[in-house]
Amino acid sequence: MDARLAFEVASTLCLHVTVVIAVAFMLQHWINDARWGCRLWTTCFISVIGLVAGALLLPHRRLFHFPIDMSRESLLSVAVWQSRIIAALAIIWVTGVAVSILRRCSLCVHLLRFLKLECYPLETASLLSQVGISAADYPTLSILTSKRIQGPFCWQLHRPLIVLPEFLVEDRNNDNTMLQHVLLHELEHLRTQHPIQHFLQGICSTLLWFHPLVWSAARDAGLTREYLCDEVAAKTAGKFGAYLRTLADVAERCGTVSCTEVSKSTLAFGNQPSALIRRSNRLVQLAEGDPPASGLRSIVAVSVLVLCAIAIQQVWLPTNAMASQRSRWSPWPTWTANALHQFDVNVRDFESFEDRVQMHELLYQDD
Amino acid sequence: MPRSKKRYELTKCEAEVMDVVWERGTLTVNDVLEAIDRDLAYTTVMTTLRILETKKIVRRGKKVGRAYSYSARVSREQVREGMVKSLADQLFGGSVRSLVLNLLESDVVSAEDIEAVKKAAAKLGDK
Repeated sequence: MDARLAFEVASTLCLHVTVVIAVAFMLQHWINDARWGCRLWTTCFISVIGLVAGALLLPHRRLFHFPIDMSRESLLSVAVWQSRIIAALAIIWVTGVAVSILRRCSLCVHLLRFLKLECYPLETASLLSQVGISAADYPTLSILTSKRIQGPFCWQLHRPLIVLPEFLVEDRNNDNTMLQHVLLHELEHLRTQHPIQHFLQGICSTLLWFHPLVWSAARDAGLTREYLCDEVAAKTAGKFGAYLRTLADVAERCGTVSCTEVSKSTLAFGNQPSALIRRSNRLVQLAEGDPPASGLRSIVAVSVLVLCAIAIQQVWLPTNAMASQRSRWSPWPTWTANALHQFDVNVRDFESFEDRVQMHELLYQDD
Repeated sequence: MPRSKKRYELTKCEAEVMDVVWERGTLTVNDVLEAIDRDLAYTTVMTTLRILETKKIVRRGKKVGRAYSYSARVSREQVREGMVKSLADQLFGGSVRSLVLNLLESDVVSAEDIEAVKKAAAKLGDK
């Protein structure tokens, strides 16, 4: 992939990702359903990964040609500047991805050490039966406990596990309500494969670490996952009020943040209600019997998102001033072409040759 | 399992309250409200002190009139040491929050939020 093709891919990929995530946001508000909201975000993250893979490995449509007719000097200067910009951006992007991967690896090691050294296992079947959950439905589940945490969490690499703070298990005083709520919430995370969605979200956040909409999508997907698990846990336990008390108790254990008041009249960043308040409001709405969105609307939303991803993949920014005017397709990226050549599949990848010829003509044009 | 030394960590709001506690020794919620030079709800300070009590950073004493008194259980130096270690953990990969699915997305939730959730729970009652 030469510098100008890389510029074309990078700039257009940012546009594709922006459109797909923006559409996912709109559809999610439209369906107003936590379970389908989670599915929508999973579809969105898979679409984003697909768009990135397609852009790097496959040729793409060129429906539009470079819009401006330029002089030889201007063309040369655009080509040179594009090469410089893409080289600088590539260095920044690779650095960001490397830092993100290293950080995740380091956190993974830290987490594994924490699980090994700071947690001890509990009798899963007995604990589940104490809160009225059938252990047979979760044969591979491990439940651990630790003094070092105040909030529970779940994780899955090869086996699902739930880690509970010690106070949840020890300070029960013959009342299992809080423990039941927490376990129902975490089990719903595992049952609905949220760790996989979380992993896909991690891939998107690593590859597109610079993109603000990806951060927003990650936040919103996280909140939607919590909405779903809150809803299932509260409905299964049967009392929304009691579940909200559990949330407040766990939050109280987790501590407080700055109590600096932001003027409510401004539209400042951070002036949105916190995730906890939004979750609480939603549970109150559900308790008061808000009608759920129709299933048909949800299916339409997921279909629309997939179609939107396919449609936007056809639209590429005409940034390449030296792209061939005779073809509606870009050449194959060199690495894919080389791989296909190994299997005697001949594909068009003469951009590197064209590039050398065109640059030569620009630099040494006969007068 | 190795025993780790207890580490005390304070959020901004808790630190503000603790400054007053360390300065005055023993006090009530109203004393904190008077000492802090900005508008704070009584329930916010009360919840913050209750959290500090849960974290074993303050101890609740006798009632003064209708309110409980509070005093520090740990010194400013002990807390400072814990917070420096926490900062190092945050900077050098100590927080695994982004890898796991937590019941609460953040360790830090404001006292007002907790109060609001409690009010919502009270409003729902047995629903």
